[in-house]
Amino acid sequence: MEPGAASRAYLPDDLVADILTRLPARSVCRFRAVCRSWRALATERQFVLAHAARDRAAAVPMNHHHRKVHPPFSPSPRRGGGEPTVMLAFVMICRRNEPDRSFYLESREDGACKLLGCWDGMMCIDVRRDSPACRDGIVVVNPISMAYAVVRSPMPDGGEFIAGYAHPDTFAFHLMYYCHNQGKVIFQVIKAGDSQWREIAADRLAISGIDFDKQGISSVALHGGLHWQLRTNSGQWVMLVYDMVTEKFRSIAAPQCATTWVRGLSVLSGRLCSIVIPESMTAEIWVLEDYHEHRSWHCIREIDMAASAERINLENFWDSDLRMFLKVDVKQGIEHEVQEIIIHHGNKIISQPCSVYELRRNEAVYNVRHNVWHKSTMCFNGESIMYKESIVPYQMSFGMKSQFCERKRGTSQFSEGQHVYHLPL
Amino acid sequence: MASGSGAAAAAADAEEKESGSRMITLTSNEGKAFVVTEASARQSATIRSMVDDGGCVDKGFPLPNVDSKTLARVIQYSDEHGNKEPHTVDERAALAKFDRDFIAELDADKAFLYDVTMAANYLHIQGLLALTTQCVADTIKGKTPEEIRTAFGIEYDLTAQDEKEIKEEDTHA
Repeated sequence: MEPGAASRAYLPDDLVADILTRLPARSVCRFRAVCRSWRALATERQFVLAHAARDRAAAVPMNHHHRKVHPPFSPSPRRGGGEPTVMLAFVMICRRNEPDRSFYLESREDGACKLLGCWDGMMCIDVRRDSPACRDGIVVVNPISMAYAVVRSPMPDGGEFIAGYAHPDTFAFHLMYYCHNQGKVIFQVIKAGDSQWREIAADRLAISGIDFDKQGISSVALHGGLHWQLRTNSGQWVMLVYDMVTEKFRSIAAPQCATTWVRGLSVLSGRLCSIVIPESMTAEIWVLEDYHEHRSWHCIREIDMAASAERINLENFWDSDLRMFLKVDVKQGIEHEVQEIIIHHGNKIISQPCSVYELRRNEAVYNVRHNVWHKSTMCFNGESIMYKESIVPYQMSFGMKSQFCERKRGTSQFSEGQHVYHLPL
Repeated sequence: MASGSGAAAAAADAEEKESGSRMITLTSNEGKAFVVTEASARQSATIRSMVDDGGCVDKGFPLPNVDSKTLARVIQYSDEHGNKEPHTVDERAALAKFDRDFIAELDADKAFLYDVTMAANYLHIQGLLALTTQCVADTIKGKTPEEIRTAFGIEYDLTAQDEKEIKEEDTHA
């Protein structure tokens, strides 16, 4: 029998594509080595998009471990002259509730690393060294291929990274930086692999009163745009939109409603969705019915939070002196849809302090589909990040500047006997 | 073939008296006729559009790409999903259990699973296609590329350049 006949008889290309989009990212990448047609298919733009749409984002608990224990209330690594610190990130990847694998990222002994964010399947990690300081940089790594690229900060210590994204057409990975300079707001963008940051014009934008919350670097991608919901100095809320293709900013209206403590942003049934926590203790879920009609915001659900606090036994959770620390996270399911709304106080509120590793904070979690609240606890120096595996080939993400993390055996108290990926720099 | 159609017509008459709904005849590539309710046949988008276009409902639908064994199994699925509409939680659970048992049985016979997948694809039965492709995906997800080539009889045709790239990807991930 002619070799290959069975495959043609059994699986035509459209079926192979359907089957491959149902596989975990790691399997898809492995099956690029089956034959030329599978290789071409699993690298096509349409396929990558179809796989991403079918895949589910997972909330990944991520811990920064210090080899040297710091006092609990100053967790940030000191620079220059301080104790040498190694921070270790522990990541557990879950897919369809099955544990997949955990791995460690470790910086060199004389440095520290900190997760800046996780966007479109890329972990963006700030790696700093005590000496020489000029070796600082951002490592963008795809945990599926362990390929990475290094990006230098445009202005160290002067601003912050507010987003990362895979370009909607090319999948090239980009990072966005934001800073104030002499009262002027400056946005800069770089494509991973490029050496020069580019400034994005924002002067025609009415954003003079906008400040990015240090904690709130969560953008939402929809219709080729990145969206942030921000509060202006005058207390108004606006939606800042960045078009990833034209590289232009614009602003659109955010829901206008009663005095708000805090807001969250996500996507619900393909529409922008704003979660508003107002003083009235009645949370509101708003959706933008027509993306191109900025007056079409309307409230689709009201949630009584006072009752919720009793039901899940979170004493003092909504107390007025703690309200200023409230933060809203959104856990997404399939197709980036909002699944759970998580309300917590960042790292401000800690219950039952035992030792630095056992600190916990409470979170109030609201399940949108089942309309129920529950309580969860989170490790103090850990955080839950939304991570979605990316099958984008490294050449597309980082171009010719791609490198691969070195794999070693772990030696620290947390990673002993495990595979450890060493971060460069 | 002729006797098949005759038997089909007779069976159709009998069925029609019983249920009172319109019956549709599907013929496998071996000429065997299967009479199903219209609701069951409409699970297939291919047949649905032919029926709606006022196609040859009376003459039945020959399916030259599907053999009798496969068609019988496909009909088992579309009868369950087309003839019953689950309203209660229990009914939905029963349907979910049917799907689980249905796919577990197919999973035991891989060649047959691929036949049913192909038929579901050809007939555009979305629910069945999702069920079978997910099952194939679950089966192959842990395999090596070499095992995949053997399982599907795929010819190794990667170039030296491909191999170099693959080696690069492999040693690090």
